[in-house]
Amino acid sequence: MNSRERYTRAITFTGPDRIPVMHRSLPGAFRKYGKGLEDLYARYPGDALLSPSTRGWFAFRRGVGESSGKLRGARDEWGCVWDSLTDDYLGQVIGHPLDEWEKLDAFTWPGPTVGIEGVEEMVVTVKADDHQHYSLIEVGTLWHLTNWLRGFENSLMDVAEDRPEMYTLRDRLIEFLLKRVEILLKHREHIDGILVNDDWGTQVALMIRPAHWRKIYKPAYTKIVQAIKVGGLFAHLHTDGVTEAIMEDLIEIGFDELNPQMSCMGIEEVGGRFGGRVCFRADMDRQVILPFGTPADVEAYVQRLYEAFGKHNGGYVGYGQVGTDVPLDNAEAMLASFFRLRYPAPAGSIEQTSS
Amino acid sequence: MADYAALKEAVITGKAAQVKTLTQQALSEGKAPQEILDQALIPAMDVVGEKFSCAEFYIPEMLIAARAMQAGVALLAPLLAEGGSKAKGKVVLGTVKGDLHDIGKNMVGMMLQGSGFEVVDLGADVKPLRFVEAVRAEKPDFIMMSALLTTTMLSMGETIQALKAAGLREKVHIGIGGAAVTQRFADEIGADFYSPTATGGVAKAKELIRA
Repeated sequence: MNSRERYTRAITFTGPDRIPVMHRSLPGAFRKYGKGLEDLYARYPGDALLSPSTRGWFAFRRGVGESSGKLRGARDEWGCVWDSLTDDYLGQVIGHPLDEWEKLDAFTWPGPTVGIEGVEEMVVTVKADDHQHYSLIEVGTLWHLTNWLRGFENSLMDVAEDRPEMYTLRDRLIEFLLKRVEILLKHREHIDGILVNDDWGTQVALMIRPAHWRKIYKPAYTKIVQAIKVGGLFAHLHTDGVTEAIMEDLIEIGFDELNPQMSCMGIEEVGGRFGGRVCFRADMDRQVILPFGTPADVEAYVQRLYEAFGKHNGGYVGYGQVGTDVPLDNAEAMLASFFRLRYPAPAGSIEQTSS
Repeated sequence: MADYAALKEAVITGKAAQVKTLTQQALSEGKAPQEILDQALIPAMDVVGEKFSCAEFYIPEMLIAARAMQAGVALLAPLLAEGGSKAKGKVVLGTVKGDLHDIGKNMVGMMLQGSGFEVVDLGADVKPLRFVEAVRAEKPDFIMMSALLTTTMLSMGETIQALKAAGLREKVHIGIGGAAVTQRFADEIGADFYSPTATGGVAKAKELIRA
């Protein structure tokens, strides 16, 4: 079973041989650990190719340069001004081109190909790999882009005030993202999944009222996911924070894989409600366990995630972000734990009968 | 006739223009600024805080209420200062060195202001020595530090050490918060209090100032 099949079987609950794994590191981790991290990833190879090809952070940072010094004050294709105080993280928008609604009419929208140049690079990589790995490409972001264009507080207050301009902006962004999906689908033979990247939770709750989310943003994601799935690909969502309140909606919309932040939600509660109904690329705890725990803590946490999400003949992808604050021992414990986890054999199979 | 109930409701529902009008009306009728603050604006923000704590309000509703409250406070503040009114307490706020995330800190600042505290907001990426300078200059009752990230929250400990080195630790209560921060971390670095939520942090500050 190659990586692509393994990952696909996890998403479709059709019995991968073991937990598929996606690697994830922040730029600073490679600078800090260098060959140590590279060797670790070589010993525990990942099953997915994730192209940070499209929106903002990676594409833009690669264009500007990785150093935070170069990012400071740099303006992206949307007119957002970026800053970063450290090379370890992705940066933050400090200048917002639509901070006042009066600027909306005159705003120059970038074309959908802007920032998507990486798809060509992705295709080359997938071809060279003979498509042995699951190929996942990011189409962009809806809520983050709204925050970056309007300013975070402005975009939140727009929700409370139900501003009509908010819907205009949302619809233009949906249009933009659908055009991007269309472009990505031209390469569908080299792509397995399309990822939307939007953090909807805070440490303690959904960022906005669930009812507002359903009214304003659920229709948007529905359109995007439909376009992805009509195109024959899997739809993925990354979303940090407490998002349990909208998980039923995300399943209803048709996302095939969710990548939520489990450190701020009840693993067993979420697993009980949603495990087996959608694949979880359940994030390792990168706030406490990965940076400050012991390797034994890391192994125990992985086991909890597996118990909650992995016992459905699929349904769990091993994933944990390695930042500069994660000891290499913990990164290794995480990866080794993923590799030890096998799915229970389906009922009636030879392996189960003989055990 | 000054309508404190309407003013309170306007704050709670985030109607900034209405807050401004009703506050001005109350002032025109000769109501004391402190009375307007104590009988309408502060109780309104208490209600907002409660609604946020029980998940009736989320961040958007909290923000528009705080903005509305600030519309009223903007009219009252110069008059309060002229009249020699004293705030309930003084807080120096900041997001720590290396961290630009400020919405949590901003919400705490707005709620503290709404509760009658004087707030000195140092902004984001605040180095330990800047906190020390602010404690010397402002003589606050509290400093409250915010950090989103596991890497930047370590600066909270550095700030506490810097305050000790400057002989200022005992002069100020120290509260911390932010997504990655925990009670255990607060205990390890010697902070006086921690809260996982903005409303909790404000409640702790109010409790300490009453003690």
